[in-house]
Amino acid sequence: MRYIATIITIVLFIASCTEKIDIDVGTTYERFIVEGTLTTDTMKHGVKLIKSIDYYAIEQPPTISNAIVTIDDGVNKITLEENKEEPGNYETDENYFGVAGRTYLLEIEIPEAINGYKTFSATSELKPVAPIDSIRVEYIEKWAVWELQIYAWDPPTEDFYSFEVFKNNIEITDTITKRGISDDRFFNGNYTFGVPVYYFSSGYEPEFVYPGDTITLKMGGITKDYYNFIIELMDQTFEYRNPLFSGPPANIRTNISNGGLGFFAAYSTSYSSVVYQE
Amino acid sequence: MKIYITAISIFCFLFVNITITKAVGEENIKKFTISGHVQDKSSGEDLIGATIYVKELKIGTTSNIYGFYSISLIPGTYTIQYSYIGFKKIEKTFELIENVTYNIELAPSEQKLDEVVITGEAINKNVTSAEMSTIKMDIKTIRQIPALMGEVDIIKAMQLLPGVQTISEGSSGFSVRGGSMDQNLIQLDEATVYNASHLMGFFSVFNNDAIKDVKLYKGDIPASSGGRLSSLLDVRMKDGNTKRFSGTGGIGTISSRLTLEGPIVKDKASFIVSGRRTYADIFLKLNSDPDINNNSLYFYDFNAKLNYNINDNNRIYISGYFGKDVFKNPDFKIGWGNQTFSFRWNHLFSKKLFSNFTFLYSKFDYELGVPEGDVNSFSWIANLKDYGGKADFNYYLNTNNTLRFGLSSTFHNFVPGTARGLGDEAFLTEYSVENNNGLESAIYVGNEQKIGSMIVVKYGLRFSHFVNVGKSTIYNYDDEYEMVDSTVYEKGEFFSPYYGFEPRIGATFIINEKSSIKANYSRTRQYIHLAQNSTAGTPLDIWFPSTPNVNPQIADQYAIGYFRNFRTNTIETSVEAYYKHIQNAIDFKDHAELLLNQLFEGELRNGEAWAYGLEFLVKYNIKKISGWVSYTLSRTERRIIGINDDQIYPATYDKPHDFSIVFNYNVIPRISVGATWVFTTGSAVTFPTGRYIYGNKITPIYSERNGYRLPNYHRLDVSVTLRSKPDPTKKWGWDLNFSAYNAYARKNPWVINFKQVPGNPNETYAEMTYLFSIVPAITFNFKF
Repeated sequence: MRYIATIITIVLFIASCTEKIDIDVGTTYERFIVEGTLTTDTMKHGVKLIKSIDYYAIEQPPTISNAIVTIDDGVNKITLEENKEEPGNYETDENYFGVAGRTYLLEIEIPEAINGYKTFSATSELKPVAPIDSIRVEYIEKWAVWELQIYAWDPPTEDFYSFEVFKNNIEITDTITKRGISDDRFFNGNYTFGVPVYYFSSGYEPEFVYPGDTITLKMGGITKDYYNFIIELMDQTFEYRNPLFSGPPANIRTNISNGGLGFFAAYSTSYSSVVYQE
Repeated sequence: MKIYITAISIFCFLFVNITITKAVGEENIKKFTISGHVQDKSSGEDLIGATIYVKELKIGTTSNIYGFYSISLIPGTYTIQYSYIGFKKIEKTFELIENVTYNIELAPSEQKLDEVVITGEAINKNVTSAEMSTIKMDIKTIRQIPALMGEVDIIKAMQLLPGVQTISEGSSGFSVRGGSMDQNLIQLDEATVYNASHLMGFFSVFNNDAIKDVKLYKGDIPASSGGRLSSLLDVRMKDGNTKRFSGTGGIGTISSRLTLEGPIVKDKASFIVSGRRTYADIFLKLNSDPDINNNSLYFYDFNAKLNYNINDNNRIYISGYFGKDVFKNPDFKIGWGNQTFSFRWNHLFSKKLFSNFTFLYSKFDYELGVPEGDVNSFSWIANLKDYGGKADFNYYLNTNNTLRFGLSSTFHNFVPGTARGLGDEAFLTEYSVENNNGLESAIYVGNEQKIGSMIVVKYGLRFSHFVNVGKSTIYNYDDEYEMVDSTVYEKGEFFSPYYGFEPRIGATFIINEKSSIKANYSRTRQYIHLAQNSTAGTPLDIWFPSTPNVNPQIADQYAIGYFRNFRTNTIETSVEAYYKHIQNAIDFKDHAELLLNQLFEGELRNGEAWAYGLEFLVKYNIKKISGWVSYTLSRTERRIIGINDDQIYPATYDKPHDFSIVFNYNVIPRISVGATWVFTTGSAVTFPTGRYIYGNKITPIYSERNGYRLPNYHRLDVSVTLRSKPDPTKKWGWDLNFSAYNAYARKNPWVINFKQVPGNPNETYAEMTYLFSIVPAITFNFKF
């Protein structure tokens, strides 16, 4: 339904006029931000720690080094190592992988308190995900876009999905707001006969799909909380809000405790690839 | 709570008082009644609020909304003066020895051609009447106000008066004394209009040519009305000329309209039909680009009314309205519309007991979708239907007391939204939000009582009741607003009743014929609410009823005012202060999802709201110049559990300063110029105050809800009107109107968005969108 509101919004915006304006927004107190992702893939999984900055600040947010970061899945507890080349990034070793069905607890202790807190934690259940039968890429003449369609069974449970897309092994959905995201309300318990999950932008050359390109879809079975987090993030960073369709902006939810922001997400993945033919 | 109980007690005391007085004091002397209808001689239209004054006794009464009056006097000789502004006064002498029916037609007075003609009630009605907190707009005045794209608009004209504010630029949604958009009851000939706007709110659905009378009650809503907390906008269509066939119409830059009216049986039955259509899409069709020329964008309105005077004691009126907005192209379409229908029967049981019975139907619906033949084909429809009946009685007990009582009941059927895929290719199965129904009923009684010549008291008690009716499914939520289970109610099953008393009390102290003080207290209850999360209001907003999960909203409003006229009533001034407190106020949580969401009741939060303010008005009508200056100083705030950390925050449409000047100057009889200047504080908004990065995306941290303001809003509109030579022998005339909306092209921000500098993902800037620069328009109007 956001899709519809987006279309209407963009249509209406063609008619009106815009202009840059100086608005002084003041400042706000510093926040602690966690960006952590853990999947069922066997690889290095990372947790990034940063601090918030003023709205108009141009520099990158400062990272937090020398923190103690641990992940406990009820069976093992591991400590993540800070990456020497990328301070603020804490990683598991490359053989670690998440297990569907377990609940993961992330705990962090930082050297200097932020807003009076030094320890933070977050929990996420790692839900299973259905396998993908196949995917297909189709060029839609009318809108000049390539549509990525999925063929899979959606289980009768309440499921939420995130879709990341790779072209020739390079991730196109490198920014979280570019991802596809969906709940299963329109096809719960059914087979999805080519439900579109992603559109390759026709205005941006790196996203053009040429014959012979290998397109890979990484489907994540995410929790409802993470689904809502991504939706809220997309809403609040969407550049074309207008009074007709948006409510007042509001802060995005988080699963980090003690006033932290950001999210620690754990999810299962399934993959499927197709080589695009015209 | 205490005031509420006190009010009910005062009501009971006064009511018992008058019945005893009547029983004791007056039984002995038999009175006779003079009654009848007051009409316009040139068209047969009933005159609402005409003054009927008994010179010998220095007492009077006014005609009701159907032009009916009744006055009971002891036998004797009386000179009665009938008057209405803009019409010639008539005096008639009666030798009263029996009941008399006297219908009278008043002729329009010769126009002093360079003066502004206003028609209406007694010239000092604002001082002497028992009403306060009301705005009655004369249709001719509304026409003189320069309008957006030349489209004369009743609702935009109301927004220029104190206590009435816009919600967002261009929008027809309005806020009365800090109330939200859904707290206004808009009625067209007694039937409710749910969405009074076209084209996303830029124009209202009321075609000025078909309207006779518009009255806005900002507080002091009569006991006969209820169901909304903040206001009653009572719009009455013309009945149709019973004397001769006539018409008016106009061609403008964006739409054209035509109204035809005339007698079916002279002096007995008449009709009026009126239509209006925009044609922006004709220009689209002329474009050679197929992406543009197969777009359709239009709206139309159609009003029709039939009325029939069966005899002196019976009249019937049938009115209907049908309007629609459409935007479509081969890939997508969206449309919405209102239909209203009412059938009314006036019946005089006796010369003192006037009654009106109404049967009404109202429907608001919208649909959007992608036509068949596409994998994404779908259709989404939603609607709201009302079926109701009302019985209203006016009992003219004696010269000091006019009683009103009655009852009403409306059945609401809510279809909040059903989406389904179309055709075989569609993957979308059907998804719908549960239907629901409600039965809203009320019974009321009230009296307007004169105590001596200096005090008028108005008191009424309304008892309202609301119950849900199955078949429907209600979801139950836990304390975290998560759905736990659902309850299914069978067809016809009544559940979740809510009810309460709504006392309405007011008093006017007439200091002298030029000044008065008025005070008023009212309690109102609202059982249906609008799920509206957008700051401007869109046609996709959903009306929903009170249910086991949603309590009715209740408002208590107190107002006091001082009214003073100067210079033989050519300058009217008033100052009114009000305070309103709302219990069970509704708002929506952060990131609320209201569209096509079965669990949307879980997105609601409730708490309390307050609105208070001071309204100043100076209205002038001196020789060639007329208009008014209005200023409102106000606040509207709320505290809702679960929003903004449970702290008080202002409503989006909280605009502490609201200033308007309306000016009209008749240069010579054939030319007049008009100007309007408005200034309001900017809307309350939420801005980002910090940022971080997540998933490679700059993510904002926000201030407290509505903690900032948009820049102040101000705008000047001007117009020049040329008229045809006034000739009393000719029936037809024309005028040509040139107007410019936003004459100094101020770019008033409609919304401010924060965007990333292209190419530099770390840098952001603020960008504002504005809707209108200067908008000129030409309209040609004619009448015959």
